[in-house]
Amino acid sequence: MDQGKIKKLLCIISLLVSGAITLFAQNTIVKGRIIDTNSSEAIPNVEVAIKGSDFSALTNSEGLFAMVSEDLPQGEQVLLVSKNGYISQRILISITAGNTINLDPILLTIDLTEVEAQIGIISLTDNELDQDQGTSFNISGLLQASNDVFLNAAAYDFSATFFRPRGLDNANGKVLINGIEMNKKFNGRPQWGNWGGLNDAQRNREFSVGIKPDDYTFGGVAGTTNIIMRASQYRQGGRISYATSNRTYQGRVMGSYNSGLTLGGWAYSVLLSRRFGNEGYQEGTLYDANSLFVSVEKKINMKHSFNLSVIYTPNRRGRSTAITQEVKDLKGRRYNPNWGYQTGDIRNSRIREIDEPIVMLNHYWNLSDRAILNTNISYQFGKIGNTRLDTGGNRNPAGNYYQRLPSYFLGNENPSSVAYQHAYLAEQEFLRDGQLNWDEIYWGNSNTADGLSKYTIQEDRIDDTQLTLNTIFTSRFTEHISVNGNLNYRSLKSENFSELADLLGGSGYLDIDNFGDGGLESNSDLQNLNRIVQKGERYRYNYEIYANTLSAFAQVRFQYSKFDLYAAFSGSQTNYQRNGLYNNGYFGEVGRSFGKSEQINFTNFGLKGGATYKVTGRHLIDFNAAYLTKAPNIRNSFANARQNNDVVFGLTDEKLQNLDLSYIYRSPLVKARLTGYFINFQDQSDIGFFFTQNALGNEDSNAFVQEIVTGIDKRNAGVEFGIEAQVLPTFKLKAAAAVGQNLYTNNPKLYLSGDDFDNDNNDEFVEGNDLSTLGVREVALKNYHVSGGPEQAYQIGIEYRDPEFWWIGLTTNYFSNAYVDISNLRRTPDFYTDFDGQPFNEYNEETARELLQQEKLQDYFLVNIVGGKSWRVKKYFVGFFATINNVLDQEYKTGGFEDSRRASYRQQVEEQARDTPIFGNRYFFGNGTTYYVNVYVRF
Amino acid sequence: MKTINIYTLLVTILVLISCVQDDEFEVPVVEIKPQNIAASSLLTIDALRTLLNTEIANNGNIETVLSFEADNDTTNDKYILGYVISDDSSGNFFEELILQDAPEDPSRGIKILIDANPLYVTYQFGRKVYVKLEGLTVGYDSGVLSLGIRDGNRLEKIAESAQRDFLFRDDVVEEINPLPISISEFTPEATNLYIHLEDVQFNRYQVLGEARLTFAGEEMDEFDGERILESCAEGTSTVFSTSTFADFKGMLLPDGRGTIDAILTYNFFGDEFNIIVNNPTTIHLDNMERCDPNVIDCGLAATTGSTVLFSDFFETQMEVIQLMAMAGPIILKQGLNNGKPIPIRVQMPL
Repeated sequence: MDQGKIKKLLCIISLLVSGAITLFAQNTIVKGRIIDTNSSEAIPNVEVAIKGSDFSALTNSEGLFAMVSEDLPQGEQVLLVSKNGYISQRILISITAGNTINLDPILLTIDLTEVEAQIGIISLTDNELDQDQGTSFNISGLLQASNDVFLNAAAYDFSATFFRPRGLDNANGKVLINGIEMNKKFNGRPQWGNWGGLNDAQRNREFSVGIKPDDYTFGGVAGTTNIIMRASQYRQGGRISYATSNRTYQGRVMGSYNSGLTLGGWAYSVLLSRRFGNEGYQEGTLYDANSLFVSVEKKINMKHSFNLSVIYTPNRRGRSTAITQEVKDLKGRRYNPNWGYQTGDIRNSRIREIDEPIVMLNHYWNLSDRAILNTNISYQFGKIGNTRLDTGGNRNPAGNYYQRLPSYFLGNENPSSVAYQHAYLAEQEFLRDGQLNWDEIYWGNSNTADGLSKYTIQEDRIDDTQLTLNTIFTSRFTEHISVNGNLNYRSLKSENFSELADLLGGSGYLDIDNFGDGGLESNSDLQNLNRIVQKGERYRYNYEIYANTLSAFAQVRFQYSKFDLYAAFSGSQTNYQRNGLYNNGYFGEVGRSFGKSEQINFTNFGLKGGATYKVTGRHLIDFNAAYLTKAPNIRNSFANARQNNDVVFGLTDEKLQNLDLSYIYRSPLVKARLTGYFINFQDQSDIGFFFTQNALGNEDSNAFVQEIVTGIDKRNAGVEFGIEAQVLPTFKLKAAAAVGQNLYTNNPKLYLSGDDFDNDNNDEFVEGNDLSTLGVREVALKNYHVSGGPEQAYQIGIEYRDPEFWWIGLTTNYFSNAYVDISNLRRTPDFYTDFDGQPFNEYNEETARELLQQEKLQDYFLVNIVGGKSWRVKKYFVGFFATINNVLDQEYKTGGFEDSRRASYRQQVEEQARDTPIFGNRYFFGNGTTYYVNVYVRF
Repeated sequence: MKTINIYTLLVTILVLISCVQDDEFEVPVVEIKPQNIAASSLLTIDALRTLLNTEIANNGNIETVLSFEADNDTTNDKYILGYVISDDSSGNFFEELILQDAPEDPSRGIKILIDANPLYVTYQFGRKVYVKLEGLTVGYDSGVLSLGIRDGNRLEKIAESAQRDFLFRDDVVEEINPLPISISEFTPEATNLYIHLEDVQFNRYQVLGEARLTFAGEEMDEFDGERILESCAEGTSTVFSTSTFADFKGMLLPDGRGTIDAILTYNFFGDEFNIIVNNPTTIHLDNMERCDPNVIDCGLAATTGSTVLFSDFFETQMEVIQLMAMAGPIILKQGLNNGKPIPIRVQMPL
């Protein structure tokens, strides 16, 4: 009899007996021991529950469990035995009052399909996560293989295309490792690179959807994932795997071994991996990453356990960039302008290096059978670096620089024949080459009169040192009530500076602003005038940010047969302070650039609650509500942090409200969920950085600016739906849909800052922003779409799982309603204002409306195939897992953004009159057909 | 043991397959090969100028340009030969390359219009360069002899990617010996040459006192900062021009006297001689003894002397008188300071 049939039979039996409850009230015991079928070792943390009751227990490290109560349901009962990664068991038992049932042993068998699914999901997310700009906010890493059809679709299939569940950025979710928050204070986002390549050590995850209660923290509205990386929690054994792909890396080798808990109370776990590749799907995007994980745990006694984990995953990635339609049409979607040949080798000018080891010590203290106090200390240090080619004020040598593209030469209304000739030659040259020419750059540096470099590689660095202390209390107060709480302290010192990474042949570099006038003002540091910088030295800007957060959280949960209820509260204190180490020439007045800024303080709180009403075992209604305030992140708190201490004008806490209501249906054949959600944001702030020709606060309107937008209100509302039908024991049909709308709901405030805003040439002070000339302007954003992936995503899929341990799945996904990110500056009065502060003569509202229309990206279909097979060869499990994404090689845009360079009405009329705009929207293009294959051996 | 073997194998495989070309790059050694262009294919810049002048004389129009039609025959290609004297590394030249016909004692120079920036990274100062004429057009652009692409009757820049079709670098880099010349000797023929001016200084109103000017960083400087450069020996002056895009535009003008090596050219309109430096390192105005007209500062007169040097009621200038509502004559008297006469004291009627 196969498993499916057994399950069905058990189901029927259990249904027959589920109503039978006797009324005797005596001491009754159900206990037992659970061991692994293959290894004969005890399995800890197996959940054992009596179906239809609230009674449940977890096995301890010896695999033992016991349920002792006079209220245990009597008669024929079904004992549910389950653990992630194992095939669940249903055991028929007959409970009689006052008797003890000892089930020893209960054998649990590893569920290969579950294992495969885990491999699949983790591999996929790993692949997409730490990509460039566009996907840095990808949320799929938060998700895990779960029972939820919609979330599986979101994680497996929607993630490849910037789709964000509920339109949420991952700064709205929390990632924890062993209970310690990993989101960066700089931008609120988890830095996936910090634990990349540790897939096999990150299988134990606990995920809370949305704002549903989490044991460790208050969490964010996009969900909370706690990755358990504790030596004793890994199954004894080892694994070696090799993966190959054409997406980001070309190869990945990984080996790990876990000791399991030994007799002496020790456990250790080691993982080593390397990911490498000279080029991903995008040209010239190298991948060079090593990962190391070591964890040692000592169980002192039944009460105390100490765990030490070290995570070190240095990685280097070559980056690509968004390109215009013109460039893509000429060079294709794989084109990446950032690289060129140097003595025959591909060299990418933009390398991201992440090298931030984490050391953590965890203490687990079983205060009682029902209460655990988990205290952690974590220290993280190291660096994040992003390099780029600094041209020293020379024309950008990139192949796609606008002055090298055909559109530039045909930019006039009636191009001359020479213009056409130039356009043609430019096109031919771009098609022929279009890359950087490193040899010429070296040649150029060797030709300067003073021997100093003009072209250099500049590395923008963030060197964070962070200490986290926290303690987490978890208690099952009674059978029905549990309480969670935590106390956290995080202290961050963030050194931000730029380092001269490569002189490219010259003998030094003169540290002055190439766009300045060469005078005193142009000096990066007045303490050190006209400094010649050497490789490895700091220059341009150099400052520190100190950030401290103290927070606490408390939660209570009630679980009854008909209702689950919870409520949680959190409170926090945050402060930031900048300390300038350079005295920037533009802001030389005392305290403006050099030395400490004012300290900015935020007090925040959060409140959430929810209920699950179990109409019957099959029908559930779930409701969650939350209100919280958040401190703006560091990135959005300082107006021009590289140059001065200015705090963003009008900076305030961000507020969030979340409401969601779900209907969940579960039957042996069909699982479904329908959720409606409504998330409101108020007072978000955002800083953009760009060059514009419409900076009215500057004399000639040309300026490098920080665009500061505050008071942004947004609303994400929509519906999520997922359904899965087990048509045959081997065959599953599934469908998922997300339909949402993410809109701006108000007109926020904007101003620009930067060293070009200097109103009075006769005084020595640079204003540094356009507040005094233009004031705070309103950005007409209301009802524009917040960009960030498609608002609508649909999936239908089939899955076949053969009893012979192979499986294949196919999904068709449809995406629509993705919008490009709009330029704020174009939506301010600056758009229609001429140099004299009056509207343009020719301003026409009808035309303006057309010009400001937000571009909606084209809909597209993606077909993905996934499959795998596993074998058991004696003590080894051997298997492979493969996916082919975008089987039909569909060409599509995953996102894009408007340019703010030409942000005035007149400039836009000019731009849009051109056949091919010179400063058109730039897009991220999705990958063509890609594959990923993973082969593994487990022992 | 088995596990160890597996790991050893793994490490070996790793090392073998996973090398990523990443941050270890060889520094490129760029070698330029000598050009092999026969002397018979060469045309001097002077000859080119003469050809153009003849054409202009025939047409009677100074704006005439002369094109060298391209054909498919490479045997009859004509080249000019020149040495680079412009250097745009400081941003004072933009999309133009200036060549002269010899490293020292040059007689003629020419400007090549190229739609590329910067050019110094390719054509450094002193580099010997051949320019193929077929496909190019010669004419006067802003008054100076120039080569470019024909656009109607005007000259346009050679496309960035077309440089390799027209410009050929030789492996020779010569030291350029600037041509000694004085301001009074400036001629149209001497434009596009690297010259050496002796004993010059910036005009005193631009460099002395409170309002000392920068090269081109003043509000009045729209495209170029034009400054007055005077010859001490001759008393002549010329315009010293700096682009507002030059990286030294914000530097203060040197206030001494001395020598300057620069390129002689015309202003944008082609009607006034300008001299332009590649960068300020060729300006050596370090002699602080300027040659300004003798203004002797004797301090303020303490008392008025009795000797009347000059007195006038300006009756002949009625308007001035009315305007000033004069209450008496303007009297210039000998001034006295500690009893010693100082030249002049002006007594204005009140």
